[in-house]
Amino acid sequence: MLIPRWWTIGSLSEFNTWYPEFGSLVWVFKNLALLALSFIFLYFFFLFRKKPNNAVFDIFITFVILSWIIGEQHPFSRIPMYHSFPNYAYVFSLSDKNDRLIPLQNVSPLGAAELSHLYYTSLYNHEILYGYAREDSFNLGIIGADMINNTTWINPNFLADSCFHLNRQYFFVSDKGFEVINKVFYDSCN
Amino acid sequence: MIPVIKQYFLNRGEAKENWTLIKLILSVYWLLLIFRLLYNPLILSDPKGFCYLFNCELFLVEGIRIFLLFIALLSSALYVLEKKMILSLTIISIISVIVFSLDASNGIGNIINLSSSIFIAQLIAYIIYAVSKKKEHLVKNRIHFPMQIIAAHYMLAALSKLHNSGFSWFLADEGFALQVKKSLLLEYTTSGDQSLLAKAEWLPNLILEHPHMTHFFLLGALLLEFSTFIVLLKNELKVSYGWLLLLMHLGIYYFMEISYFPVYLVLFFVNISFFIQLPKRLLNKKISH
Repeated sequence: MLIPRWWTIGSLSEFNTWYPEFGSLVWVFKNLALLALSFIFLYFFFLFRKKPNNAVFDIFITFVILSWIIGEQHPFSRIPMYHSFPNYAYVFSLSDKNDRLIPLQNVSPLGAAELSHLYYTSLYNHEILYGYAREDSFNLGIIGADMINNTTWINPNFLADSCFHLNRQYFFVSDKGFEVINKVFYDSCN
Repeated sequence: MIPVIKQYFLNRGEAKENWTLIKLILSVYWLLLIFRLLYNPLILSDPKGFCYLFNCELFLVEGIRIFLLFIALLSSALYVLEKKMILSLTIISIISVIVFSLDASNGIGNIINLSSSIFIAQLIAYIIYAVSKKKEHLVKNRIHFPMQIIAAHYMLAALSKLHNSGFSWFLADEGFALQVKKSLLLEYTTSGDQSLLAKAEWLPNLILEHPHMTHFFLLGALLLEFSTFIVLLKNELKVSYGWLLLLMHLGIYYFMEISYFPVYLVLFFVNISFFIQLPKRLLNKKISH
């Protein structure tokens, strides 16, 4: 399926990766479309402006281009939050040996959202493919140990003395509505 | 009363005091933020920004952090008092880039902060003034350049959505419902608050039951982000856009419990000095009547 990426600043090689059969053609079409859009934009730009002032868009355009090229390096960013809504979501939690929730704020300065980031950073560092619960038990074991070894986020006394589970809930939507699969990926009790 | 409201939403008669107020609030907010960030446990597990280019281990030393805070405080004072602006803004910009890079390098991930780019934009405005010596350009640019940065962030957010999901981004009601459920449950597992667990049950189901309404709001948000640059052309639209964007953030907070307060929208788009002067304006109206 042709996903509409033709208007982006993707390079020819990227286009050939996205559309192996006709990447070059889409890339040429994209550039022509961008050129046409630029002319339309400039037309309205001068239409709206009563007198020329070069600073109206300079910072805006420069920042957008640099951020798009550089990516997630402060102060630049592509602002990737919620850029897509895949049909899966992971929720992380701590529970005791009876599977009762241990509110994270009782044992950590981090929230569960930050815990998710620790999970994804660890996956990224170990080059493990993720999403739709494709991470297998072996890899989850590595990630769980990695997260627990990063002790800066969890109260050391709790870590030393308590029996707890680190859980991942995998949510997805099916014909029946929301479904969930639970997985304990770190068990300090054993 | 109605002419005053109309005057406000059409952004007429922006007060000169606005700039001082913006600087004051901006400095206090920034100082509190960097103080909090520097006193959080710092880890450099995934170096980003300045820490990607240079070794940031030095900034883990407490003495260095206290020195940074002291310099930040001094520069902010100069900035608010409108003294040595190029020097103070240069120092503030450098410290801001370092501190937010340290924060971004912790591997935990954070909501993107605009502070550094806002200060850099102001620095550029003052450098242009130092070269051109045209005061009217400075008065406009020191507000307009940060506005361009804010508009650029919304444009980037829209472009990211279009790049990753295509034009059908707003049609993903099931995926959106899942993200809402996830966000609420993440807050629940953080706090243990049972009301969030209940909300994570009914709100995502409500979204699934009303897909067209969801598409409408998501499309509205996407168009709003994509079109924010229009305020750079039409200053009269600045306040209305500011409020629309604030409403969007309020919606995100309600649906996803993401507590991000867009300080820069309030400072550069919503013209808060108007509210401070509102009693005076209303009184003047009555007297003139």
